[in-house]
Amino acid sequence: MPNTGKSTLFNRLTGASARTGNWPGLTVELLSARLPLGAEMVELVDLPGIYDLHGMTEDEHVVRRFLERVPVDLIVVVLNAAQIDRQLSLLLQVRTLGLPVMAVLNMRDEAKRFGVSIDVNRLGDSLGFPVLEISARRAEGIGPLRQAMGSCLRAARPLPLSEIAERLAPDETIQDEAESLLRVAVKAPHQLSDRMSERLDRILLHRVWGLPIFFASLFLLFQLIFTLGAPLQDLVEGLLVGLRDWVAEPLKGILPAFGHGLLMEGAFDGLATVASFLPVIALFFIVMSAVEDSGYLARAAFLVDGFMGRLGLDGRGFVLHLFGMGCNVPAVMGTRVMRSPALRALTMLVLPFALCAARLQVFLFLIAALFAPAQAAIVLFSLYVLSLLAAVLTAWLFKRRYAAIEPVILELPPYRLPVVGTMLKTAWGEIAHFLRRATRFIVLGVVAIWLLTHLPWGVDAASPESYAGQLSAFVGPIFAPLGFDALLGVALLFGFVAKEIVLGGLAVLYGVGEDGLTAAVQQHMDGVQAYSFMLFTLLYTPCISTLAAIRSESKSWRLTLTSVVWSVGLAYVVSLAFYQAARALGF
Amino acid sequence: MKLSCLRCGESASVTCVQGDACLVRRLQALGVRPGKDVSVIRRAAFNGPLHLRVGSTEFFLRSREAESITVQHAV
Repeated sequence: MPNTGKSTLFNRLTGASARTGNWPGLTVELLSARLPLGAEMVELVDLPGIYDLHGMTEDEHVVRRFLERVPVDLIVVVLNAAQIDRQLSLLLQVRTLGLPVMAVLNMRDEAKRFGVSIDVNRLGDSLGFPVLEISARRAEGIGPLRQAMGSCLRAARPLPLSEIAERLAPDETIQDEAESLLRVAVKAPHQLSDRMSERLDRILLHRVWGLPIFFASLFLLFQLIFTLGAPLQDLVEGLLVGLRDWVAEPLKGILPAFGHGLLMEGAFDGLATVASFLPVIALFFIVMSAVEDSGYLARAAFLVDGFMGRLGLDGRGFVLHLFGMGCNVPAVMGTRVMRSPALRALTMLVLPFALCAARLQVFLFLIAALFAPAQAAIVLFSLYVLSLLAAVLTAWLFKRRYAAIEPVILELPPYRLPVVGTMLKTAWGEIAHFLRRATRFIVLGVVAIWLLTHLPWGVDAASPESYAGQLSAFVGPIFAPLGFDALLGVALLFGFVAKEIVLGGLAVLYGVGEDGLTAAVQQHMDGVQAYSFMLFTLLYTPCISTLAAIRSESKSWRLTLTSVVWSVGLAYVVSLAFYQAARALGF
Repeated sequence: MKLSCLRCGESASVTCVQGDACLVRRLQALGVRPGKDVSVIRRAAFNGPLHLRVGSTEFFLRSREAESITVQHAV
């Protein structure tokens, strides 16, 4: 079942960092991990959450295909104990397949809060397989679960499944059986409610105040990230400078000047610029995972759905947009929860405008370099607001071309307090992902820029004779009306690969170390130019990874190309309008 | 009557769920079946979706989908 904490349980059992989310259908790629159980090593696969086995949704298809193709030793069905009244039917359906099964009733702490009590032994006896009650979030009952899985496995014989559809019992039979089981094994109050969620909802879902409260809390969270992140960032920068001195000086004697420059000024300085933002990125992901875990995101979808409906989108699109603020790629992949191709296409066109962590880095740096601390949070917030406006404009313009009608039904889980361990795990997963990207695209991009500024052989670094100089002479006139100097244009060209490169590339282009970049930037631009540059960076073209995701999800080159052309065009017009207007007004 | 006619805070018993097969199944999976009680907790602004509760499950759906659920006041 969706939203029952499968991913959290998967993490608990395997210790792997599968991303967990309070959002139906977030687990879109099958995660698997090896797990020692008793004397054996087994492979545990995290299947998507489904409501039944009829195969009407994408996720149900995935599960059916998986069960038909892969011989499994044991199916562990995870249900939400608090909602057992409606989830038992899935368990009964799975039982008719004839495979070895066991059931896990997760969130027993919440069930207790609702006043639901379940006689698991009686339920297990009637069903003919073990049923366990656990709480994955609080790590309760995990030990017994491992043991039960181990003993089930010893008894299990894998069966090849042919046609699942033919094996399923009629819905009515299953429903009757579920009702009679519930009567004997489950005690629940007639009218269930969770007082805390109800009271919170009365405030947070208020007709008038709901949305302002939501945006105010987002603003406060960003402020928090900014305030906590700054000193941490200084610390990392200090460490990196130390590392540079420690490594670079001894190498000077060994390597030829060109090689030393390539390694230290190209690769190291570029990467260090990016790495110094790790604390802020980590904080961002910790905070986002807490919000995601709390159940507030589904509420946000509820609050904005009416408005999103007018744009041809729905509340889920808005929540994906918030995810996109981490990285656009998983958000684009998350559109799989939508069935209508037109709705997916429109959502994918809108998502790249979400201000992702890579762009955030560029902004944090420029804002810190060129704006007073008192203005910093407001400048950053204005960029978030603009990214939302760009998304709204895009949806409004394209909604006729991608018109869709899709039923919108979304669960509102009870509010949950974030668990520190889960938050840290998610954050670590994101940082690891970021570092992998860093080593691939970013180093390559920064090194390429260094080579452009130092070749052909013998030219002065970044001089007009170098390739970078020639390139900037070519792109300079294009960007001049936006207020950028020519070298900024070169950095932007490379930012197409990954936006992190913009900053690392600037350090290389200006020929300064990571610590000297602030001064160099202050020398090369003022506030108006910086804001124009940030507007352009915010809006222009999705990065290569996002485009690849859009292409593979939509199977449409046309949509992918539309995404590039529209966003570059919009970026140019917006920056141009801002810069010329600001200068005309005398700033 | 249609579920969409209920006022906020009212609850009623489901008599019939009809419409697109996929929508019906989805609603059934959430516990919306004939004989079950459903309450309308609130409605979002801008003619937004309905916040419903069936048993311990809370979810929201748009007015258009609410049209496919027929209910009857508890006697």
